[in-house]
Amino acid sequence: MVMKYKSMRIKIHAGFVLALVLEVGSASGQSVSAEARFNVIRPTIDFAGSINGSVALDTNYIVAPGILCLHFGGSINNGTTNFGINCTASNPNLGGYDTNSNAGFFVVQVITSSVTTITKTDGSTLTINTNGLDNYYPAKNLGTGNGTVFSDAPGIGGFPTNYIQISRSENFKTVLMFLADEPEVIPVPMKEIDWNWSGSISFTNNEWFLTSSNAAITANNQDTLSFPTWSSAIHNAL
Amino acid sequence: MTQFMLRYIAQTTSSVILFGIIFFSGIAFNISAQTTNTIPTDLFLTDDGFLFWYRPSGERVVNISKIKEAEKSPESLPANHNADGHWGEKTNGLQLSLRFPKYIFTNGESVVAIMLMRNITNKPQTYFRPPRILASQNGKVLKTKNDNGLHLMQVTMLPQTTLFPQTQNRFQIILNKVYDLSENGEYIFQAACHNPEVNSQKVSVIIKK
Repeated sequence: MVMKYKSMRIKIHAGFVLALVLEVGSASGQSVSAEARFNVIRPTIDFAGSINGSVALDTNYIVAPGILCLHFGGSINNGTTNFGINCTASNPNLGGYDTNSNAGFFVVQVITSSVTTITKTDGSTLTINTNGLDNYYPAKNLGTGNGTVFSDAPGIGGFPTNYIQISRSENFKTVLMFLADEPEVIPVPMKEIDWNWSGSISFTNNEWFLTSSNAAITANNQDTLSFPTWSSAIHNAL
Repeated sequence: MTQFMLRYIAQTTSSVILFGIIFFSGIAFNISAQTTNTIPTDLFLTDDGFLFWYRPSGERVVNISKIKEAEKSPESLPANHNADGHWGEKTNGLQLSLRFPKYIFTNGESVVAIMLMRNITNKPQTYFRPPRILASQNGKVLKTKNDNGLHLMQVTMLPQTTLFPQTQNRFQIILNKVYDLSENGEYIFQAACHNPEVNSQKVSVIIKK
């Protein structure tokens, strides 16, 4: 009997159970289907952010020692750098996948908004609002994800003499991605940390002063299936 | 137990993207990539962030296909076998290259530069990325275009990065976006890292009608 292909369907059952259903039919109208079910696993891991530094206005920024900068963390104390935020991966569980293969965790960071407002000596103001990939993809290879850390300490500095007020407010989405070392595979999102920092400074009596500041984590170790997206990259200007 | 591993991305009717690894217990072969923990002498692999894999033990390995790719690339050769790389002096455990696909450009054409920062020691080295490209014309240092008008030093991600032995980072830059290259003539470019200080050789590029 000649059987003709009729359909191939993918079904998702409760939980992470995938079923492939093949259906074939004969000329007389009879049809037969077969279903194969596979258990699908998703790695688990923790990705926890902690704020370790404060927003400061000083010349003690690791990126530009000696230059006055407004920065969130990155201060050097007795040879040790206190980063603004540390994002630590821990407790990876790949369900046995890594027994015979390679896998890794990677960080991708997106600036969801960056707003800088400047007031100049002539009273004019300038506001720059931007967003995009933070510098590089990926931001860092976190390897096995077992105690590995991604740290950041954003800042601005080198203030021109015709500026009298500067404020900077930035929101970041830091996503931990999982990647298997296989052909045609792409990294997939596992966990997300959302965080922000802001600071305002004012030039008074020939001196810059920090007038307000804040830093916070708004979502921590959050499960995510959402891929980070961007339309352009934002690069450091050093 | 050997497991057959397959990856897929399935989209459900609710548009939630799932990712998974399917395990078929008992099937006796493995399609995982071949890896090694040894990079051949005199070969430098480009670390694009996805170069290294880590075994459960923490051992760092690379996919052998990356080594085969590097063996075919002039960019992965030692500096003394790659004169067109304009490699600078070995400094602070690092070496910096600046190269162009060609050295005469038509005015208005994109001038694409490639920088390679290489670890030439047997220990990890840290530097600030990316290196900058300095430019001059007729002995005059050119100023960079300010991309967003803020005239500030701006850091959104710490620039420190680590290069492992026998690896390098690759940066590609369209110089017209950084400098005004609208005037015909000879331009001199040099890649430079300031932390730690590492420079490439100076490279001459002609821009003409």
